Amino acid sequence: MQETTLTRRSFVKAAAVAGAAVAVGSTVAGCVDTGGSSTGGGAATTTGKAMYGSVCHGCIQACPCKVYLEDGVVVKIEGHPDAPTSIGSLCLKGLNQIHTCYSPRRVLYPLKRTGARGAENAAFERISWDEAVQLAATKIAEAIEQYGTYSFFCSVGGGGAYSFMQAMTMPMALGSPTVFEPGCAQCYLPRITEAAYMYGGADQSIADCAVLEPFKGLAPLEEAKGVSQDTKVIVLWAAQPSVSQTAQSGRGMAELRARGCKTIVVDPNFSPDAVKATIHLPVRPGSDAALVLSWYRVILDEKLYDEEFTKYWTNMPFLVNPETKLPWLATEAIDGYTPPADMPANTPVYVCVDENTGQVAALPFGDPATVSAEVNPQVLATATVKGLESKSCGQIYRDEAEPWTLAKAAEFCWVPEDRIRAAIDLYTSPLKEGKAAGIANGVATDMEETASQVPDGLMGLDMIMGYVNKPGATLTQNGPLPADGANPRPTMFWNGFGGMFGMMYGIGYEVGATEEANEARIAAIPEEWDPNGQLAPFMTQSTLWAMNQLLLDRLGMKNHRGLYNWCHSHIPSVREAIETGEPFKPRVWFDMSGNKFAVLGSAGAWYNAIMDDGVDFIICQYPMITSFQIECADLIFPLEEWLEATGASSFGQLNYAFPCPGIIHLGETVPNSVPSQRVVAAASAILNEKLDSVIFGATGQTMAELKLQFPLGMGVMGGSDSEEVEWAAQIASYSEVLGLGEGATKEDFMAALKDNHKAYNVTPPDQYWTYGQHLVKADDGLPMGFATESRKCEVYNQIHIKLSRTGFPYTYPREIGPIDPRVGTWGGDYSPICNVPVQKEAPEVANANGLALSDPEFPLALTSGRVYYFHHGTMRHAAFARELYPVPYVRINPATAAEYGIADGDWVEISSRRTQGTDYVHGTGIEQSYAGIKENNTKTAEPIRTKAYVAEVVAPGVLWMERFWNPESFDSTQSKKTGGWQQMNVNVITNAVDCNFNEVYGSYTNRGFAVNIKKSEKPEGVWTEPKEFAPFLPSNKNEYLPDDIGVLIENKALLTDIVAFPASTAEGGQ
Amino acid sequence: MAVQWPIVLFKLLAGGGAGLLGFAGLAALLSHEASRPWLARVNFAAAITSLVLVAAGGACVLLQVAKPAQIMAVVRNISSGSPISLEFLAFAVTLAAGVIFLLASRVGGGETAGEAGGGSAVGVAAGETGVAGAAAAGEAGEVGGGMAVKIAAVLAIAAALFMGFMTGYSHMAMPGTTAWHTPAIPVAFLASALLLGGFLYLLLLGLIRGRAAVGGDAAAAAAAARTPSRDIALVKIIAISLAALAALTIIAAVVYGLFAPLGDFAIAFWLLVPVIGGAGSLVAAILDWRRPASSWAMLGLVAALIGACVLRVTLWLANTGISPLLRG
Amino acid sequence: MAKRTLVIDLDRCSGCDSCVVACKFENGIGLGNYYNHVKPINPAGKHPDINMYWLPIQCQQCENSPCVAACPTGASYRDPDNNVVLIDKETCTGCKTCLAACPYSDPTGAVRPSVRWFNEELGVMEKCTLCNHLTATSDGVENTEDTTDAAHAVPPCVHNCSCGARSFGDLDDPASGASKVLAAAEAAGRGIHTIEAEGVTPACKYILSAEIADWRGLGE
Repeated sequence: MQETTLTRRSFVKAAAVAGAAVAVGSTVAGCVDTGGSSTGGGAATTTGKAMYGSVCHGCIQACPCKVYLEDGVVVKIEGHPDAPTSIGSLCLKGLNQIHTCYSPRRVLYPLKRTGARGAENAAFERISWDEAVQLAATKIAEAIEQYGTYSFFCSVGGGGAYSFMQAMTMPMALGSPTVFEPGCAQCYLPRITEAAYMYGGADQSIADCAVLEPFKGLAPLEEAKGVSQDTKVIVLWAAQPSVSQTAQSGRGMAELRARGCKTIVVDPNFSPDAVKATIHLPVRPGSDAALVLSWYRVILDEKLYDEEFTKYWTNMPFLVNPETKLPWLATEAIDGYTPPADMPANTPVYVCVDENTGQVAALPFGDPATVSAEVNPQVLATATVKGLESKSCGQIYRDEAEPWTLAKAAEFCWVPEDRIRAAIDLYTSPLKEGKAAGIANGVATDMEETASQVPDGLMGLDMIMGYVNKPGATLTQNGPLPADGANPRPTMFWNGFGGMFGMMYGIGYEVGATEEANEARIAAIPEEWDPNGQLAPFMTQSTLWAMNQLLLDRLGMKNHRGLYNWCHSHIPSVREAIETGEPFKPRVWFDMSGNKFAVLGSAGAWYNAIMDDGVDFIICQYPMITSFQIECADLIFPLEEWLEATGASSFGQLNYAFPCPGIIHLGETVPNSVPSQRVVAAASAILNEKLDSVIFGATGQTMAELKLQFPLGMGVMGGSDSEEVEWAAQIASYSEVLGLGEGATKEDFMAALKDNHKAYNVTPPDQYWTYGQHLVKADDGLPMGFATESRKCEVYNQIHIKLSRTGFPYTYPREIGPIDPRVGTWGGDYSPICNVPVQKEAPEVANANGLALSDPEFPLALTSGRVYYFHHGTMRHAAFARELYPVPYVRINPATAAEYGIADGDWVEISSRRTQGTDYVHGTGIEQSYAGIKENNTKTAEPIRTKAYVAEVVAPGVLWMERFWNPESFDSTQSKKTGGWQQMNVNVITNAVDCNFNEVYGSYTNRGFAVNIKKSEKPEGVWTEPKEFAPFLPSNKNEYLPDDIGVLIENKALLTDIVAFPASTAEGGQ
Repeated sequence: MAVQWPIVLFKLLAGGGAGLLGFAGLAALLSHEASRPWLARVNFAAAITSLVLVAAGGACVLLQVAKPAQIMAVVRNISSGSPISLEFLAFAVTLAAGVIFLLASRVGGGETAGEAGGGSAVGVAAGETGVAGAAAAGEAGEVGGGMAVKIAAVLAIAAALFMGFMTGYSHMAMPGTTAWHTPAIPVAFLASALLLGGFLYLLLLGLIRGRAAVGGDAAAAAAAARTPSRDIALVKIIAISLAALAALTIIAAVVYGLFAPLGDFAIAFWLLVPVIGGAGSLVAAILDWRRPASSWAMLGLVAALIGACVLRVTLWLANTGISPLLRG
Repeated sequence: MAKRTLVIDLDRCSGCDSCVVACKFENGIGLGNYYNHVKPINPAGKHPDINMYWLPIQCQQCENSPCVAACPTGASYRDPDNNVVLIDKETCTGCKTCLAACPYSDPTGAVRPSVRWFNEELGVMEKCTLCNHLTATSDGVENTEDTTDAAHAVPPCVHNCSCGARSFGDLDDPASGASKVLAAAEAAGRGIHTIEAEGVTPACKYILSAEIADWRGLGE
């Protein structure tokens, strides 16, 4: 049996460890010294011992760490003691990087498929980088030439390779509107976008480092600087930081709790954070919105909210026109009203009911001290305006919350009434002492039908409590305060990740600026590019039109317009387009991340769509081979793992930034930005010869007619097309702290970094932990306020109404018609507040023991969540993780287990309508929001199997299980190879097919859907015993290359130099 | 606790072998001048059998040990005070005593043993220091031979008691395993070991003495014929002591049975150890005492074997001293 | 004599298993072999009124060390300099006697959790060594400037713990890392526990407050 693992102590000059197979570290010394040639792999020294600081990218956050090498081989990684949140911690995902970087499953060279698709007899051959780039470019160009620019599409997401910007911009560069990511609408897009709509600030996500305040002042280094720790109460709603960001937010939560911070955890599962919580609300999966409204009902009725903040800093007092569903402007509501002289045009005046007079009155924006002298706005109010009974936003919220008494919420959400009450009291208690608490909203609510409603409700709660821009809150901004009186009022420039595309192409409305200002900006864009004008060459009216057209033609955007914020398409609509060719057929696919079959909802539907020749050519880029690549990748570009990656992006932790040098380098791997840049350049070279025949998507016009050239606009963004540029960026950002002068080379940089873990940049605390941004004076003499139309926190989400009717602010200056009224849950529009729509998958009513679920044949509700061992689709190849967690255990309550005859540890089979055959469309009267309506009863995949963990950790009727896939099922030792995505993958039974997609983002249902369960036995081709995972350990065999290439780290040839590309051959558009 | 079979076999074989040696010693001590010729042959055979059994027990330990090459560490560490070291010491002493007794009974037997094909067993454990002394004494002459046999007999008995007791003591003295902390265990192990040895001896005695009579060896047959009553007396003495030992085994087994958490194999224990094992061998011993016959010795041996085997196995199964929750 | 051990704060421990993986990399432990484990003590009570904790378990460095007393070969011994209970793999014959003596080990040394583990490949018993090769002379108060400083080094399971729950040191030395954590817990009135077993006095201490969960040792 092999006992192969990297050992420092077993590191002997040449002899292998007696009686055990090669201990990887031990035999390298013998052959690393190749006569002093400096093919030093990355940049680390390849002789003797060395330590370099780096940053782990094992999950979505980033733990600084120290990497120890011996003779060019990484033998140990440990957490960095100076890291402000992880304080020396490093979890098993970080530690297992050694078995990932050196795994036999690595893709080290460009690989081209040599046989048919399908895992059973998949085979690849190694080709050169030039061949690979040309092959990709040719396939893309041919498809575009034959079917138009809309035939190309991209995707990203799956964990393990962060190509965020490239995926968004590559399709646009080639004139295609189609890109998607299994996360996005199902992960973070709803929260980040709703926050931007409601107050133009950071959202409530801990995972995505929008919420940093709780972790302030925890580290000894920070305490020494007198940085205080202010968070005393925090609500973790649908979030489990201790699991998902184990060593960063997990360590932060442990330190927080140790300092007496009280926590409320809302999670159907008894997660580690729930175990440590002061109060745990085990909410029924899918019923969060009702619980949120029960909080509103108590807080509004008992006036537990911050009256001053709610009256003067939110739109709760604004009276709403019942027809337009928008707040009345004072000029509309009050005859002859003219705004005060000092009120700038970009700050509209709305109306409220003045509590002192009981009359409708104007409510100008301004410092509460001055405005309160004129008017005392009523939060819950109703008045007749222009003959129409108009309610205040607060009253509208109160009416929506009316049915959700504590008793009703307890029954609907399966949470004891006294616990809900205790949670509300604890959450509102800090306000009584003038302090702030905060809510952290996790990803789970993004994956449900109420993906837009719950974040709205939760941020609204913090806003009416005044927990905004205050110490101890979660809605805080980090970075230097704007200078007093020096800046204009804040605005939000829309379209594309913080308004990026708006700035590049002019599309999108600048909310907070006047209409005239927006119109002027559009008008300023010239017909032809003016070489000595200030705008970039691609800022022309034709580019503006073309880019705007990409938005209008984006799949699924007719009904789900929140996706515009990241320029992503609606995933089920893309699958439908592949299956039906309606409205156009995506044909050549460039996927930039991991295992699509593990992370896409209803994976079976995707497999069927692809495999019956749905997609002509699939290009991948990923450091490892996963189910998706083995099943259907035609070409794979080799990417670096984070130990090899130079500054993939300079990761920081709170106000610290740590260098990420490329420490080692294997094969011909490259940073994740390189393949897309080279392929677009090459494709552009081919296509630019034929601009008069290439059709721009569905418009019927040729690129030449539109005076456009490839790559369109900015081309591919995010990272460069070569490693040298990445090194230059790293050297620049840390040369000062390293004391390096100008023109420092990579070698100087690494020499200065060697055995020096003190090279990191720290932003001074007073430039980072800042508050009261909205109180700073703007240049118009008024407080800055917030980057919204009303310059206030818009608890009543006004933008939702305009968005559902005209596509504002994204498609400006062009408009698209209203959404299908049956999609909008607010009388045909997007709901501006938290509401409880008719739920399809989630159980609706609870009987005595909560088991009257909506689907009689599938009576249980399954929800999901992360586990320590993996991040999204990563690390199922890590032997030290799999021996501890070989299968994704499904959690089941003992009462339910007994009912189904299931004991702890039994193999079980779980099925849903996606695995038992289903009509795509139920007769629910709501025509699905995407083009195709499937009538035939199609079963998408087989039911999944796993082992049961029977304990009181979930409620009766609820199951809980994490996603999974089995890399062992296509191991060379298997008699019948399979892709490994079918056996135990919860995403085979999730509903991305015919659920009620969230109205704003089209989010499909990964959490809280109807399933059934029964006893079963172990599936074929999966490993469960520790020693079975030996083939995953570093060895001298690479699974995907015929010849014996030597131990991935033993054969010196593999410690190759960085891939150097000849000067960019194809002259791209820029 | 899972049954460590090699250890169970070691304790059975080494204990039984030592018991056999002990009874051979006892017989040698009690024997009169006249009955020595066939007795010497019996004791010689008994000594050989005992050495084989004890050595076989030692081999079983090698099976249990994952790295037999390291076994010398046990020797080097003999003074560690670990109960296992003491047991190993007893094992070594028993082997030595067996070899000495073998030589003494061969030498003592003089001419007859030679033709009987007893052969020179000297080579069995040449390394034992004591051997040279006994052999030399043998050559010195008839009288010296007699004295040598007496000394070797005493040594044999001592070794038997030491070994038998130690196979139980190494359980009792095992730190941490409270389920074994009762003196009933060494007593039961000692008594059941001697019981096995005794019945085995009687079988050998009946077998060899009978063959001597039939086998045409005139002198041996004559001697056997001459002293029927004395031979019978010897058998009766052994039978009586076996009866006593059987009683002792019953008592010790009952005491242990009450002490130990027997769990779901209590019935098997109570039936097989004190009843079939103890009482069975008691009855056999008494019958053998009243009318000596090999068949009773065989019955006794079988009963004792069942009792001893189940007793030793039970010890492992009843060792719930280890928190069962470890398996939770 | 010295009492070097771990003190583990179960209020903090979230059962993430990173200590198990850190240990495997540091000590070159192969698949299927373990020096430590994290045992979830299943929730007591009925949903939703439940509480639970995770119990990291490794050699408890018992003061009367029954394993050393029982070992026939002397392979189980105490480090003459700092009294840490260790196994000398060169001497060990793999006879498993110590598995009978150790109340925290599975009798076959092959079913988790078992603090002593039988390594099939090497044919010897293995257990947590408190990373004595790093920490033999350490006071357990880590030197963040140089984590390899022998006077202050801590085992990787302590350094990398994702909750800051593990501390190391000599409980007879009030200035050691472990002693300080223990003293702070006592001062705060938090529960201090050991895993009780007949006939042994384990040195390893566990901190658990009633608010988090009620102590149930290994889950009685």
